[in-house]
Amino acid sequence: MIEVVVEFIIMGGHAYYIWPAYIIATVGILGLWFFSIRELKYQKQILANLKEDISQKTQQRKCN
Amino acid sequence: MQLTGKQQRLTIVLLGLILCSIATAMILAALKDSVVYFYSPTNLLEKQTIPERRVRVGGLVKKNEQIYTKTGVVNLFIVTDKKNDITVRFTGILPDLFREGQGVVAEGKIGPNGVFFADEVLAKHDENYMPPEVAETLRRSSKSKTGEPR
Amino acid sequence: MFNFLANPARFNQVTDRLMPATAGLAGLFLSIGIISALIISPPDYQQGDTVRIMYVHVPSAWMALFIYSFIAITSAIGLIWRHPFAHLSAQAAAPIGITFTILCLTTGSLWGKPMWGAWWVWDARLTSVLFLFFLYLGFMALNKAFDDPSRGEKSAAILALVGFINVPVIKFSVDWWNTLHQPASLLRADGPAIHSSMLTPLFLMALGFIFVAVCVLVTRIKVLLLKRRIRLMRINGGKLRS
Repeated sequence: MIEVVVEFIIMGGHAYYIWPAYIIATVGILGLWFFSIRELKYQKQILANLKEDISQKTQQRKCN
Repeated sequence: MQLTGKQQRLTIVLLGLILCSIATAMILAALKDSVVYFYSPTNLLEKQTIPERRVRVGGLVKKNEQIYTKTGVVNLFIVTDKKNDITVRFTGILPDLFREGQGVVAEGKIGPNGVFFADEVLAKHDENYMPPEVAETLRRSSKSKTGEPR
Repeated sequence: MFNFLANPARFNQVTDRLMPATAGLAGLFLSIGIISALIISPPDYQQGDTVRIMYVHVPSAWMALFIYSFIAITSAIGLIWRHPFAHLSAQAAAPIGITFTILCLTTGSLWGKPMWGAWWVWDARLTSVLFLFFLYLGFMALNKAFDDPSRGEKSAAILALVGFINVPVIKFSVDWWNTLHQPASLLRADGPAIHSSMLTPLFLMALGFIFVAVCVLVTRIKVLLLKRRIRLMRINGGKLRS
């Protein structure tokens, strides 16, 4: 069992090239996804704050 | 005929694309010699290049002979494009894929005796991908048909 | 369809409903694809296990070209029909395209070293893909280069269209010139030169990449729609109440 796992990790002696390729691809794709989601949340927050500002201002104007 | 704004822009974009493609085609045609990564042995013999200029030659390995000297292993192999051959001399470690029948690209200079002195050899692999068993079956079946290994 | 989706409210409504399924399919195809690529599929008769790099390298290259074509088409629509949503989609797609281009170049380099014996060579295929990377970079930079976003959009769109010539050059570079890179294995006259056991992981990964790209594209379009809305609200001050 152990031998099978070790053989899998060694990748026929090309582990140094194959694993980095997969790691870079995973990091790249997950990173792209993660940053896009984060940016969306950030912009939604800005919009919410802006809306609040505006509604406050309009209320103030009404009071005046 | 009066073109509307949209039609006008469509025409400009299409014309622009056509002109750009023509320009690119002309530039690439003019640069043809420097765009190729390597010459075939036939190209190289036709060209009569200056011996001191560094060039790359590519083709299939026909025969490889290793000569053991005091300084290390010298590889003498023939690169062919099936029309012309060139002998390449290379000292150093050959890439894993290097074997007879394999595509290679050697970089270096042509010596006075027509031998190509390479200081770098790269392997070129083809577009076929298959498991070893399939390759073995293919080799066997072609052997039984033509009597020659593929 | 373009007009239908160009309404931000409708776009959000449609995509919110489709997003979970798309993300699920992306995850499904990628996880089966990786298992198939690393464990189930056989090594190559010549390249051994390094052939497994193909399953991330080739789909990345396809996506890089595919997304660039998408950008060129949407840019053309934006220029000719003056459709702001077209420019916006092009702008949203660029970071995805450049990511896949970088993945293609790095995984290719990691494949080239053990097989060819070099990390990088200046042959026509590699050079034209590097050029694609700079086109993406230029497109993204031009979009941000002007104070007036519509001018940035327009100049970036023109660059995208001019650079579109590079796409067929990349595709046919291996046929037109002697390159170290091998010729096409899949889209060629004699049918695919890849054994079926290796085509399975390749297509699974490609499908996974496509679904991931769609998810990210939708998210980024939403980001840009929000940014546009915020900008308009700021310009109009308190006048815009919605």
